[in-house]
Amino acid sequence: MRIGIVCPYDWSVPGGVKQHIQDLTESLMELGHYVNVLTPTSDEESLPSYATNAGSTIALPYNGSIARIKFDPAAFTRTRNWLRLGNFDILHLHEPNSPSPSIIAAWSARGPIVATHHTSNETMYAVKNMQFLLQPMMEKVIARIAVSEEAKKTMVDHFGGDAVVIPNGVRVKNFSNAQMLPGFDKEQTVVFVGRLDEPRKGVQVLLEAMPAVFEKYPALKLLLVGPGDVDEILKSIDAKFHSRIQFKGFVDSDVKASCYASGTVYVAPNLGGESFGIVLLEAMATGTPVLASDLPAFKRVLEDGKYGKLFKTNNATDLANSLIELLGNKSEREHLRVEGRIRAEQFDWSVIVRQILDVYESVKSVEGRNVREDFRGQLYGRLTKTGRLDRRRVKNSFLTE
Amino acid sequence: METSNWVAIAIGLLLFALYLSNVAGRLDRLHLKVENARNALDRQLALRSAICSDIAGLDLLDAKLRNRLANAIHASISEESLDIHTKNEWDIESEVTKSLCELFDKDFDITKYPNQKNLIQETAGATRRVQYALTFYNDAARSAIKVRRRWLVRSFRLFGRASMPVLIDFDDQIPQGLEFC
Repeated sequence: MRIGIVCPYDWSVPGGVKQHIQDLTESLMELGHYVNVLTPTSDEESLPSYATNAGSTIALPYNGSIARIKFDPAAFTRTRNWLRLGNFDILHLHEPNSPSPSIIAAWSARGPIVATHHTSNETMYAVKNMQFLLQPMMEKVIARIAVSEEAKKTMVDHFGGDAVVIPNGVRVKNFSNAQMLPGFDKEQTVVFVGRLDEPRKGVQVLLEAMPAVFEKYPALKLLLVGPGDVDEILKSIDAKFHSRIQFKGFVDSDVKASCYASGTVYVAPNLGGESFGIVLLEAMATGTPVLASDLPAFKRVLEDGKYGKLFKTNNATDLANSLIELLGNKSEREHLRVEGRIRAEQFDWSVIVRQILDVYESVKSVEGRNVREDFRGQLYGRLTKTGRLDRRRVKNSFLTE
Repeated sequence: METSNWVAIAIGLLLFALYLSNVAGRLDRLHLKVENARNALDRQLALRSAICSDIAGLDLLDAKLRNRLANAIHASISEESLDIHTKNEWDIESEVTKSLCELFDKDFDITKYPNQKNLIQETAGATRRVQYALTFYNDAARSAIKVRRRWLVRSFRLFGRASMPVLIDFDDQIPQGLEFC
């Protein structure tokens, strides 16, 4: 199958959506499909061979994070050229309602179009106000995928309609053999992974809880992995604990795997805005027990505590108590380690990619027509043959073949 | 009346006509989408029946449950000659789903059947595709119905000769034992 995927965010900036697209693309290529990704980037040299540049980006705040996105007239030409040259069977958009190549591709193409919704948050005012403009464009999308029940709910609230839920995947083999970082004790380390300067990742809750835990376990170390202002973090915790906190800053995915593997417990104190607990699965794939806030998305991944421990969201006391308990209970940690690995296997990309291919398979047009340029929205198209609808009715073509 | 007033009225009418043509075009696209989604659903149901007949012939599984599945598929395939889809047809597809769910209940373990792994995975895929195709069909039908119910669309008959799309409802769950196959 020839598949065109559109990434809305800058390829050179790491992020959940970009990682999802990269893993999906590689898994599809392993199965022998042709894939090309259209993505904005500010660093064209570092693009992988399967990606096409859609131009550079500007930074905009989106969904509580900074998203580097792209929206300008030249992007229309690039997108149309990419569509024409790619001759795709399936066009797969990601985050189709962000101002990005995704929306431009939705506008310029017709045929079997699939869209994945990643975001889950309460209200996107911009989207709500723009809805009447987006609606006809969004109607061209034949199949919608949401990465979680929360993402689906957000999508339904904003656009109506329905979606199938296919969770995010994790490349288990990239994590399961991760080596420990030197200088860390597997029995005495708490790990946090996420941006330190983003409140919704919840590092402040962890810092509030840590003094009590440090008091209880004098040899314990805290490893904070992720970009952010170190001084800002140290300011919010008592100076006597400073020597026991280590920072890793921004790391690539191999080192990140090692960071997970070095932990006795991995803590995810996120406050919200998380549509799927991919970080939890990554930690579980390395065999590290997980302690996470009881967000609906996390609860679902951990099946209400079967595969990892939960504490009350934004409650530092509960976090401290749960952490102290888990650090002191080796048999429970061993149990979670085994269960967590099993859970992570269920979300391995080799499993998830089959579900995505099933979506492609069920929308591949019965007439066997592929993705093509759409002129119907333009006056030129409506007055010429290119814009008219084909009224070939192929009733049960499969059965009569 | 002055000429400028006539010009204003003419421009207004022209804009209104353009708007109507736009809505009609959008509705036309929606109808086509519904039609394609319906064809895709029929195709996936037929594929599921084909794969299930292989499963029904698999000696390793419980004979009584396989028999139930075989009967359901037989009904589903012989119904094919009826062009008008009655409520009955969807009941038959529900029956196929239910008998699959009994065969592959939550105690089903794929590792016990190493030689049939491909066939079982194919079955899991077929049940998923039926679920997806049904979701996408109903999604398309719902959005078309929503536009057709608009006052403007009804009074100007912008839907032309196309018939009102119908929502389809049958049991489309994925058997628990096949969930992670």
